[in-house]
Amino acid sequence: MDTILRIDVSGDQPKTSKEPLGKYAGLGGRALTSALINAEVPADCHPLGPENKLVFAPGLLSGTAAVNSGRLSVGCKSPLTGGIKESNSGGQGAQILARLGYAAIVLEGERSGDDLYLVRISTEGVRVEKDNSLKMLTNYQLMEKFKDEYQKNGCMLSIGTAGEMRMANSTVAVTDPEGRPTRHAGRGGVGAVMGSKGIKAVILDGTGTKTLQPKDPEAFKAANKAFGEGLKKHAVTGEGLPAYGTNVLTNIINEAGGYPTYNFQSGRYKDIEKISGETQAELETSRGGNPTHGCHRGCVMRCSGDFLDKDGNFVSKQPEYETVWAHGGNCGICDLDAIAKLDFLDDDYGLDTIEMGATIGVAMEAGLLEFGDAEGAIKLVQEVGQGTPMGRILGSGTAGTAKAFGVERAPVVKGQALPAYDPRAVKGIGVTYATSPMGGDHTAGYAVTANILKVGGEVDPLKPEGQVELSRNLQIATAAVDSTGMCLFIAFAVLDQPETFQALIDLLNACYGLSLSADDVTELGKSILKNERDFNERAGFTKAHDRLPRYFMRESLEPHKVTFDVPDQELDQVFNW
Amino acid sequence: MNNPTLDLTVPEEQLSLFFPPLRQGVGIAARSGQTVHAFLHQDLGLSLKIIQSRVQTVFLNGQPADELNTARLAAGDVLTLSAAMPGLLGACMRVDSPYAAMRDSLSQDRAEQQWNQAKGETIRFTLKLFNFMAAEVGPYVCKQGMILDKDRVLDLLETSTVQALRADGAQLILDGRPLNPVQESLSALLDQVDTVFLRIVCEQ
Repeated sequence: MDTILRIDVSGDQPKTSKEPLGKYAGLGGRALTSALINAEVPADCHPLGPENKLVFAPGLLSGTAAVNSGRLSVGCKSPLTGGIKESNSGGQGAQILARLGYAAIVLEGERSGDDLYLVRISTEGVRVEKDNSLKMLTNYQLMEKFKDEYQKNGCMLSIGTAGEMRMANSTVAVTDPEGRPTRHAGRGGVGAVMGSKGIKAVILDGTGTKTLQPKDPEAFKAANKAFGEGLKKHAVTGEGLPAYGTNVLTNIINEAGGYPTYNFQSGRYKDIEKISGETQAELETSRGGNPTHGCHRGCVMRCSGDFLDKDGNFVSKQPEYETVWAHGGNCGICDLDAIAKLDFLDDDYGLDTIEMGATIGVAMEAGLLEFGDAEGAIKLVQEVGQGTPMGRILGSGTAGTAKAFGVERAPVVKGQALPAYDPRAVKGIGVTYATSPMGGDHTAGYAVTANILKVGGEVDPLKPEGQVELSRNLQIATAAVDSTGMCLFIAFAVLDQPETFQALIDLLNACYGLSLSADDVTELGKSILKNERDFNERAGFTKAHDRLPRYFMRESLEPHKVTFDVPDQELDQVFNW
Repeated sequence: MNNPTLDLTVPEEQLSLFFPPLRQGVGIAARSGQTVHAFLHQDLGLSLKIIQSRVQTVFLNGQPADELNTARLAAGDVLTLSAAMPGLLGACMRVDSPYAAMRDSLSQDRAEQQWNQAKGETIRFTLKLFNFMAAEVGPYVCKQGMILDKDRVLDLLETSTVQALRADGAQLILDGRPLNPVQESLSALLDQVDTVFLRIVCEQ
């Protein structure tokens, strides 16, 4: 995994070239995408212009036998935020790409004309072919067309109609072990950048590839065993996620009064029981569905599942917490069947469920439809996928829709919709929302505790500045984990079990013949954030962009009657390490 | 007649029928001023090991509680129990979370609260059991008994599964008197009742 494949779409026919990692040696995942974008993309370029690039990079441990190492980073200048973007996906992509020997694929150059191209990558080489029969196909239609080619030993990376129409809300889909386009690099409009390069799909054929071998096989095997056992024995990674999926959070966040409801107007939803993770798992099981399913081979947590209709037919993958919130509680919709249908449509058209649900919430507040109108919400998403004039507005994202309809309450930071936690109830996550280089993002500060990494010293939770320090440390740690290809959900086991964290470092050391310490991991995280902040600064971002919308400071949230009151001066200290 | 006692014996594998009401919340009688820890350990009979290792997230009136030995119950409270939860927010909400600072404006602190109710007075509060707590703590609650509005009890007992259990001989006992499932209508017997004290016992 030491080659960069570049596909230059300029000219009459895209050209491919391969080169060694060079100055990017030692980097993977988010570390590689952010370094490359910062070094090679002019920060002031238009995200859909020829100067922007789209980078696919598996993590440092992807392609090896390391459990849960199948995360793929997709980086570019974001059409949604105007800043740097690393969007992260599960699915089979990272493992296959790494086993094919690629540390990254870079799509670059200026597309000429409207032709669409299909890329095939295998051990035989790289083929780029014009295929205009793919125009305006959805992700599931692409699956039907190509699944025989990739399902057994490969994977497909694709854009649906949203990416092809270069909507600011558009994803890159990554197929799961069943070949379905259910996993997405969802955030920030990365699909639009792929669309701007005229690449509709990339089919990875892993036939003939082998699991990547570590430098020290014995040490790697021991570390992987310890790491896997750590995940399996932990209450969250070994029990909660497999049994209920991420939607198990719904009841908890609602109980805490931090569940944004009716476009962030309240912190509690009256019909929460109808959409909770427990109810969802019971419904799935009663219909013969499987509530415990991995998004890629080698996952031991298996937080996904299948959602079937009452007749036992596949509707979508098990909607995740963020999706159930965005299309459910945030819009006053308490019908799990309708939410699963919306999830399918998002996957099919290639839309980020968080952005789409938040956009519909804004449309509801604008009076375009009533809160709770599930059928109306489905019709709106169909309009987005079909590219009607209304659909184009909604597909521009939450901020664009709020502007179009004159709504102040747009829950966005740097143009990206906030996820399913109200920052007034849990102010520490508000600090991360405000300051993350990615825009409103819950995964930006998600990983291991400061008291394990010792980043910036021990945190006194009783001090008010604890929120800022915790957010800083979490963002550093998350950036580092995003570089390994590891699923961020490993964080829960690592949080509570220092031996599991050590096993992760042992995995990296055994894989690459290194002797990294926790300090080195910290420095890696800092270097990633430095790259991202540097890019954003050159793109015109200032500390004024590291703020929540003012209504979070003005309007108190029920039931706890809290506002976001972390001072600007403290927010400005997050990256002051 | 109010709060009549209704006893139902069901096979252990059918206890999950009662998990939804446990998630939504059931009424519990306790002593005012009792700590959450004392309620869990002494009243419900949970072992210290279960409390420490499984009851990882506790809310009192929607606020995360970290000190179960000092958080005290009062009339009208809502006590919610959960296992350890995923996500940064899940981690934030846990008892004694290292991320407690991130939700400090919500955190429960009743240790210094002045009590306007006499300690030891019988009070009623609502108990909610989320996720694994329904299966792990629920049997203790079912055995001890819970107070439910009459309509919720009737809805619960009219589900097809419970009806089938009764047809198979599962006995329903109202204030110590076994009911004849054919000749006696429970809704008629509870006509003047607002709430019911329901106990569910698993067959041995």
